[in-house]
Amino acid sequence: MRGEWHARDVRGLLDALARGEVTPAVLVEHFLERIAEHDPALNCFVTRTAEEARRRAARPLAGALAGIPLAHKDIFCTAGVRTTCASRMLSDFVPPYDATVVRRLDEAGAIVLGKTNMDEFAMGSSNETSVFGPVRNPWDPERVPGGSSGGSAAAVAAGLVPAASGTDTGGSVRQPAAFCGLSGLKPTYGRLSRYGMIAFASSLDQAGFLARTAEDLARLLVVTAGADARDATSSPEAVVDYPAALEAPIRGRTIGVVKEFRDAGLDPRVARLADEALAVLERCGARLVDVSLPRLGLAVPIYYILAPAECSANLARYDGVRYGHRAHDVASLEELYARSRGEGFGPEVKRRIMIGTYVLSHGYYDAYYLKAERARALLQKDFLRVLAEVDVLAGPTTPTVAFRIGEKNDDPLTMYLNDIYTNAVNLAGLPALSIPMGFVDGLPAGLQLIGAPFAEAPLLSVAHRYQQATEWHRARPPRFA
Amino acid sequence: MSLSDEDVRRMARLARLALDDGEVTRFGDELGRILAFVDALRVAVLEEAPAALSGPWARTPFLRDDRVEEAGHPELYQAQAPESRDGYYLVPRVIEP
Amino acid sequence: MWDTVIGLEVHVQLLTESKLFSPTSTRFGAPPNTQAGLVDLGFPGTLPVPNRAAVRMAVAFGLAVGGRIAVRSRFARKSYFYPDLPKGYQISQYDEPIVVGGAIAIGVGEGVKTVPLVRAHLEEDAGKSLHDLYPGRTALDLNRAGIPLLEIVSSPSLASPEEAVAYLKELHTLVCYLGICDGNMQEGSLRCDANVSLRPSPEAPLGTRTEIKNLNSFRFLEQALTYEIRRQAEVLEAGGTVAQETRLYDPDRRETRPMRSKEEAEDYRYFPDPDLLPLVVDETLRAEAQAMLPELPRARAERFVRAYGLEPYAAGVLTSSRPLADYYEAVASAVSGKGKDSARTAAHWVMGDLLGALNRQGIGIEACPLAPTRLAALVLRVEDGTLSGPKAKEVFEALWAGTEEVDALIERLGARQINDREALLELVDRILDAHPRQRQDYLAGKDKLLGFFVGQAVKASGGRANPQELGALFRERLGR
Repeated sequence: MRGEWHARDVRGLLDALARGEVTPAVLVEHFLERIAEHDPALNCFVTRTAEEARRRAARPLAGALAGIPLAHKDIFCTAGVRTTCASRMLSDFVPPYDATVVRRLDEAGAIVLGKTNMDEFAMGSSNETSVFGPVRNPWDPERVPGGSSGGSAAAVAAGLVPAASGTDTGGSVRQPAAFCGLSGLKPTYGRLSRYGMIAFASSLDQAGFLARTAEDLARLLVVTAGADARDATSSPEAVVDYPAALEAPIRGRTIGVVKEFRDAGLDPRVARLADEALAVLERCGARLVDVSLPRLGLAVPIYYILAPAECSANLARYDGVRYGHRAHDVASLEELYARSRGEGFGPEVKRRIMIGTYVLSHGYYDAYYLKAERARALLQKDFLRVLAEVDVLAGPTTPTVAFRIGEKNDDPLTMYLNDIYTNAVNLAGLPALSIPMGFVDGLPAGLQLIGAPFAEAPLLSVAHRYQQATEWHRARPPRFA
Repeated sequence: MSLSDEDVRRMARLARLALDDGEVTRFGDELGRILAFVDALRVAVLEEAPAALSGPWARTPFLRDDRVEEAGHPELYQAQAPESRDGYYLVPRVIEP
Repeated sequence: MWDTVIGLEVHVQLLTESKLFSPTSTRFGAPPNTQAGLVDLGFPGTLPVPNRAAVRMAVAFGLAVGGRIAVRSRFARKSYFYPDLPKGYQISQYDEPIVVGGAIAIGVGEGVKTVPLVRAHLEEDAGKSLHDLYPGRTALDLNRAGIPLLEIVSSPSLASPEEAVAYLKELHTLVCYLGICDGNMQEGSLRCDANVSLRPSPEAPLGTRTEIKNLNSFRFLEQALTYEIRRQAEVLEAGGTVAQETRLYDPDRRETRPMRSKEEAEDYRYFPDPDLLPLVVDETLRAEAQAMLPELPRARAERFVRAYGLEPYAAGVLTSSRPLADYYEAVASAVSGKGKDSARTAAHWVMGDLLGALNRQGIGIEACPLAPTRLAALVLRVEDGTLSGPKAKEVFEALWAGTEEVDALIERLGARQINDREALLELVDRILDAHPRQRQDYLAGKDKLLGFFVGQAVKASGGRANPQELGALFRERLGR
């Protein structure tokens, strides 16, 4: 009889494994079958690693996640397995090494089933900039799953894997989590090593996870967090036993309701869901406090100066010399550079490289980059001031639910504004997560919770309490049930 | 507002991106609109900002001890290279001044 | 006549085991790309992690030149495309360098001139492009990519090629002394760019400058500057203007030539490297750097004059490199207090026979096969009169070539100086008997013949007779 393992969360699978109800090999086969059956309709996977997964499942595994199938966003380097960043530039790139996040999950006993689709170089909010084509939202295949970690989100939502890694530079874990009805965590900047995670914007990038529950996120976080000698920006801050901290009482915690999260552009139906979610938290014993972040409106402009600036330098290494795409029949070095890069990058990546080049170029640096850096420091100060008074900030993750594929392709700006509630968190380096808070016309919406630096434990425990009081996170897209 | 073709080509040249004429026109328009949008910041009046970011950035950085722990592996690494020979990476000859 | 203004930018390769931001080796001369690791190659996903030793060396330099050590400095990205620059940007320091100010004193004529420094900053080196290996291709060896450099920028206050060379030599000695650079200019461990401009008088504003790249020997620096100053003077005297440009020196034709003019001015798009937190030099790191500071050459030379009674010239020679000064000091401390001139005699032997022998064999003082204690034993035997000058040279050669100790060698070679009055008198009589005519001439007033007698006696003794004693005894025997 065919198992219903895909209906379980990580915690449920670990329990079943521990009781001997299932083996890693059975789980691997089950999820590989799910992928084979459903992925053609969704386009979540860029590369499948079925054989490696089977071999690994056949060996004894130890660790906190022993036997749990996972998928990695195709931005994490995997030794010997193609890592593309969903770009033509890296379509044949096989890294000779593992990212630290990948290695730590391997050491925890997880089994990788494949690499997931994404926006090219993580630049996008809809998974439409991938060279492999868009990913479809399991709740409505005509809609986007969000991005840039869209493949990971859709794969977990459709039950193709119980959890997956993602990266979040301006909302790329939280927004797809919200659009796909999942729990998604972006830890504090520096909580997880960035080593082996292909850079988009170094001061904003942070690895994260997509799973069904906050509890699963805690289990993924505890085995991956912590300093790494290969990433000078990784933090030496002590790693907390996040799963153990989940049951901390919510009573007495204060939750800051950010006024600016209800600005124009917020779908009133999403606003209503956020109000209901806050009411649930209040009933659980949390105290709600109104707070204001007056400079929040500057976050998107700051973000779209700093992120492209960093990306323009980070992507300079793709020059067709040591790896990656090289144009054919070039007569000179200059032609090699310009054509390899012109052919290798898609329009959104080029657009951001161009903006970044512009704001760093002679005569514009002070007006754009320097000003943005200053504004960022002020914005961060605002956040830290508010977070000194409350435990957690709350609001909707996105202004709307998932939009239609192609809907926002005409104007990059409308796409950028979709990340209005998430960008600021990366600028301030704070931990944040998105959890399901209900539906608008059958499409999931997410509640964003934001914490103080390295306060992942209280953040996860508030989310966990909410999920003990609600059922939204148990909802599954009907056609992938 | 739109960025001039000349500006677009100058940026493309600095970033070593070959653009066709259509892309130049399209980017001129799009970049112009994006820059007009971020101008909200350029004109914003800001008080004195902290000298540096705090939170996760507020700490003495980690420095590595001076030890050799890794070698080059030209054969392995150059398996990824479009063109290599005898352990060297190759590119079209650079004309030296 | 024109007033010449020269400033130097010197890239000093720091003597670390591993690279500035990665744990791969900095050893020179390895096969291509065998020392280019994932970080050095700019592989996607890799990140720089700064090397503590490189930072410590930069701080030590800053302390040695009396510069201000920035408690907080920043690495920045300098963006440009070139195939030997794997990431498309160089990690350097821009507006927040680790060392600001400081000065280096150079000898000018009889006096001393203080050359203020603008700054010193850390940056990574690029790889090497080889244009002649394969037809139509440029080959890239990225072993050098990521090697730590300290770029030291002088103020534009050098007034002549001679001063520029003196400055570079002083800097060379200093960084070698500090143990932060091996000083090997052939291997590119110290590389120099020069900025030159002329103006009608020292009061006039600075003229337009040209930058001459890659002057990698003292001689080329001097030749290139001499040429460039003359060239600029000719341009100005013909009523022209000097173009601000970068030039290259061609040692074969002994001239500077402009580098191919660029279509556009460089726009390096510097910004703080987000992969690296601000660099913090805390008290611990500063103390570590302080602890590695040796006594610096000038101070040491002055001490040699004071403590060992050396001439300033000799003290200068002996402190020109740290290993030489260490060697001399080991000999001098073993002999000092044993004989009135022992430390000076030691200097004489180190600068003379020892350096001569090293030169002959083409080895440096660091690899000297003769231990300072053995040379000190020889010096003591010269000082106490056991060895005469010629015999001492003979013993030195044997000492250099073998493993026998000085006293054993003296016995084996029969080199002991004859100081015994009776034995010497016998010798004196023998020589006088053998040269009756010279004896008469001497007595008749030909004083110069005393040297002849002494020479004959020394020769007859096989070089062992003490010449001072012999002179006295001849005079005594001859009655004048």
